[in-house]
Amino acid sequence: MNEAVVLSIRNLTVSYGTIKAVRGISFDVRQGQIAALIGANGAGKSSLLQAISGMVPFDGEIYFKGKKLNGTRADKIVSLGITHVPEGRGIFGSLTVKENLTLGAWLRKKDIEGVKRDYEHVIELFPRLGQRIGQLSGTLSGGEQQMLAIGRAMMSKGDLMLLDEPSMGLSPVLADEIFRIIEEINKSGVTILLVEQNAFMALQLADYGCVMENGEIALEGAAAALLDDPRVRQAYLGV
Amino acid sequence: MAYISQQLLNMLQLGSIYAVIALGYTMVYGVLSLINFAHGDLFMIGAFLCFIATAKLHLPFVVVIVVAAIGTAAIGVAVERLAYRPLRDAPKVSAIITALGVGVFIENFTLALSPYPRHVPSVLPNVCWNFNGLTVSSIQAVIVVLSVLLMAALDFIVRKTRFGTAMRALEWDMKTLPLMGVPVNTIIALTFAIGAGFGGAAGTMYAMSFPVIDPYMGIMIGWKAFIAAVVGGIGNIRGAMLGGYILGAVETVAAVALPSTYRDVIAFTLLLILLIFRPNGILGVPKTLKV
Repeated sequence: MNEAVVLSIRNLTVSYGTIKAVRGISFDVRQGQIAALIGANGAGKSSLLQAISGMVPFDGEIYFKGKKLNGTRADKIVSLGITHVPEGRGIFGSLTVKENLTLGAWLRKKDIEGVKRDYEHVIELFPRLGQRIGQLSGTLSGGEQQMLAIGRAMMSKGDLMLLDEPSMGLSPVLADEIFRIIEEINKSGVTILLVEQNAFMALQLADYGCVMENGEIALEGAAAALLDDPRVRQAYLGV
Repeated sequence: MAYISQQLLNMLQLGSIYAVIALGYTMVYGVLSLINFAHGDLFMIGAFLCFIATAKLHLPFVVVIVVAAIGTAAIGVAVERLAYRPLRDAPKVSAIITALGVGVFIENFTLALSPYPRHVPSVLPNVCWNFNGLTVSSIQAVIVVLSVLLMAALDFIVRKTRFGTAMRALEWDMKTLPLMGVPVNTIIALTFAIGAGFGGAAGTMYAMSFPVIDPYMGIMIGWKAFIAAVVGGIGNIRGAMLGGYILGAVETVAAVALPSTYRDVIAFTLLLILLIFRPNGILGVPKTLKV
């Protein structure tokens, strides 16, 4: 817990008209951590990630590496080092797998060598993407699309990766595979903020966890402690 | 035989102009799902810029077409920035009304500056070549060749370049694209610039073929090119090219076979029938497939 704070959320509120999806929450994510945000559908988890990456307006403050993100455009936030694998994967279905990966590296126009290296690394990590490299990504299976969304985010080479429900709609085998990859990305030095409904898998992987309920943080702490917490066990783990 | 090939050449000339205009409608629709009803008026601006560059400034042809295209592109970008961008999250009906309003504004602004029809002096030396009875004028040759070059360049840009990839991604999902670090507003502005620039180039080519121009000339031509874009499949770039040439062919055949007053009736009837059988246009794909 002595690592530097990378992402700091202070009193964050996200509203859609009169409805408040996130109600004044605060928490920190530290360098090199995997932080997991768990909670039921509609708890405000996705809105929180969208606020961080500049997709929705918010009240309160968000700091990334000490820099205040308020009012920063989404494409500028990527250039600061935050990548976002959105809910529903957000792949560009009319583009090929390769074009999707290339778009991920949009801001690295001058880093031709580095982009090539990362491209090969992504293909190595996801051999199935390599087999379908020229295929329209809209024709991929759900699992392959999730791999593509993560691979594309890796091509942006950020320091913090936001992942929104990466296991959604996947078979347990595929979900395991995706979580193994997330662990590997984290080991390469990328800090992870993971939003999941699958609380058990997320907390097993994470160092730190927050439980969100109705737009507020109901519980937070070391992931291992949350796994043992009777309230979490009853509400989210079904044991 | 010579008569048929002469008519085929007329089809190509007319179809090229429609196709180049139709591209502007389809590109803007692709990125914003908005029909830019002011596009026909941008085409008219291109014709008037051609008039200024030739009658007033006496510039050579290559410069004339570049001035008309760049000038129209600049106005297209300004229209997007001032009229459409503030309404991007507004209901579609408001954006459509704005587009119609922009069109009326451009027409009347031009009318205030130039209340009479203008005659555009010839920009090119009018030379005719004869191939076994087929007469090809320098104007026809330039229009067909230039249009094909413009379309080939656009097709390459959209399919192979960074900008083209971003434009196609934007068509698919505007919300996700900024997460790649792509400045969406820049891509939209560039799309308008290319679409309007093509409109300006088409205005010049039109003024070369039919040299009397007036501020309302863009209305009918604009509607026709819009229909060409819909027939080809709105949002589909190759579809707009195809639709333009189909419309050029139908109009030419109708004008040859029937009294000229029937030309537009026949052309529009055939196009409406085609849409009954292919409601998404010839190369179009239903939008619901995207979900």
